[in-house]
Amino acid sequence: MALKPELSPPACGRTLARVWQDIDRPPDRHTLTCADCRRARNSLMRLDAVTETLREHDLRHPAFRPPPGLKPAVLAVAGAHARGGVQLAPAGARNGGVEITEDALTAVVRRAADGVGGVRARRCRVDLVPDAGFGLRIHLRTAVAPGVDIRRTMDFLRRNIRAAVVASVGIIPHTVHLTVEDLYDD
Amino acid sequence: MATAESPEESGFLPQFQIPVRPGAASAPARLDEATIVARAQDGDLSAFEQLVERYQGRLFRLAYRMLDDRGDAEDVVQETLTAGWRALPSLDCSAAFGAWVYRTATNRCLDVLRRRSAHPEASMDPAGLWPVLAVPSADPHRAAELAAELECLSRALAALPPGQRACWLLRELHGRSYAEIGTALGISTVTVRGRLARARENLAEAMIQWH
Repeated sequence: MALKPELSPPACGRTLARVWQDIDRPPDRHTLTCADCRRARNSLMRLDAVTETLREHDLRHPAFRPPPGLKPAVLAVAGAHARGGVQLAPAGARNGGVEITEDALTAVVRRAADGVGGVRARRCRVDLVPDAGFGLRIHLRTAVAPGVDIRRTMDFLRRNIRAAVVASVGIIPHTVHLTVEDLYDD
Repeated sequence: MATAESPEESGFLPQFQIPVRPGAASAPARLDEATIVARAQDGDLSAFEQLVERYQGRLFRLAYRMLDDRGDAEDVVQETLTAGWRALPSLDCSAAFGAWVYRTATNRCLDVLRRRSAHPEASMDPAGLWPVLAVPSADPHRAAELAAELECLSRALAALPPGQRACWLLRELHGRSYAEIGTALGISTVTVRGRLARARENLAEAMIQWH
């Protein structure tokens, strides 16, 4: 379908872009008296209305939904390339020859954070402190709800994390480093 | 940004339990996107699954409108999201994921169209491709008119140059900002506005001709 731009710019000198700019406002005095601008405005308003219908159409029509196999296919590839995190051999594990993956520990930390109201765990990293007998050092970035008492909440969160790590791997973390980087607002 | 640290005496307790499986951190259903992205950046597959659920429909609608072909659209979305998983750790800002997948999907669509134009015999005929929804309306005449208008706009959209089509879809159907569209297409916001204006003129003209 060849499209020829026959929707001419109004002869008054106003551009179609200018007409579009005012499409959500009532017509100004010039538009009310300029036949070209009224015609252009009506055309663009019709396009705007059909665009809205098209948006709704695409959201509802089954043909515009992704096929059911798409998500499993993406997740299968992602799972095959799962990062897993580095292996950690903290002080407590060194003697027994047991190692823990960083991802397993971050999962424990996140679950502990999820149990604290007004806190959302974001990025989490766990490493070892060589100068402190290879103790566990946890870095957790968080977002908190507006109005939360950050100091008290972080103290509570730190205790929760320590308890969860102890319960899970039997090691008391050397450091729990918490950062509040954002406020979330639902 | 508030930070707090508590160096404490390191130690371990006698019992040792195997921790939960990697990536099993719980991700409640209604988290803000920045939190979900941050968790996925750390390799949390369940958080990434939420991102896939959030974006697969949007990207598929974009790709289908760009390419007029469900199979090609599916390939673009799958490639984009799997590339997104690999790119997540290197994203500077967790809020950037949406812009990243839109940019990647748009450019993959444009690549497909460039390959098609190099092999015109494999190009799609835009006529008759779009399944048109029976538009719900109490007035059957009005419903038929709306359906015909949709078909007209769909055909006119499919006939736009790819750059105009991408700009128009990203702005009008997906609500992306001018700056984001410019970044996605590697053009200035002035050029984005120009392409959008030409796309609107072409589409409005097609609607006039239809009437």
